[in-house]
Amino acid sequence: MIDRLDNEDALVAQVRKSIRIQGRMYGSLLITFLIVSALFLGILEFHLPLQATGLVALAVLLVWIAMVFRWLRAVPATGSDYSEDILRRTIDDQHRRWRWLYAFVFLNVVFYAVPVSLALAVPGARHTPWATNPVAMVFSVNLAGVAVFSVLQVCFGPGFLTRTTRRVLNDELTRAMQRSAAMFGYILSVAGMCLALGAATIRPQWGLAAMPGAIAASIILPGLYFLILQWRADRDG
Amino acid sequence: MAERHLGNRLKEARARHGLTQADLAARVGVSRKTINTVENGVFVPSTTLALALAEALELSVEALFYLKPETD
Repeated sequence: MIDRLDNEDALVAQVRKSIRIQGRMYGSLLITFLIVSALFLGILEFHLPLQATGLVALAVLLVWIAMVFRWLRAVPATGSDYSEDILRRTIDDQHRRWRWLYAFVFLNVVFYAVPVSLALAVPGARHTPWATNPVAMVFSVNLAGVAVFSVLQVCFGPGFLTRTTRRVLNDELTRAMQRSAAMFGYILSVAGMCLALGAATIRPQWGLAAMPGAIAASIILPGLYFLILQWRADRDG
Repeated sequence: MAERHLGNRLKEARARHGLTQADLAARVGVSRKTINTVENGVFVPSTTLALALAEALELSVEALFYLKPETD
């Protein structure tokens, strides 16, 4: 049996801390999105004063950015002190810890995709300018932001923002599983767009309403596929 | 030409050295899952990893990995 190196535990503690910080950043980003969305809806629906509400929204965003900088300063050393073999020993541990974040990502995408789909499915929505369809406008902007962030998480792993985690998870098997998931996602996204286009040829509004679902499916299903691949890799033959 | 798959004697070689999957993983510098998937034939390792595994188990790559014909 090979002895555990003394600093392996320290590394695990470091990465755990970076996971907590990233979870905090992600959670606070969602809260910020919700607050800003609520403020914009307030302007559009309840005629809140544009300038004052806009300033409050800007202040919320600035507070979030300031918090992110503060948390990033607290991110532990990048793990460069550790050799690759020590980093590799913690891979399974890291994968186990990050798994919960996938559920968070999936729920988040669904949370934005469903209202946008419903808003676009309303008869006449196609002829309604975005500015007068606030739910669709605000939620679709959020969906776009969340989708880009989520697809990066699915393709590069939930911890892609921290260098330590990127180094830890940069092993052959993980890269191969991420490649498979990304390929699956690419096929799904093209199939989803084709389906939406097909629906649009029948009734244009259906094509629009199908797009959020296609986006959500191309993020969630590859993520689930990656989790299934991980589960399969853990099984004994 | 019939499609051929990569077979391996990783499990036997590992057992001969009295190593667990985790021990071998630590020696080679990969995750335990990587060793598990290579052993089960789910994952085809890169040349670098194949060489590292052979070196860790004190075997040649040809002794550790072989090509097996496709079975119907």
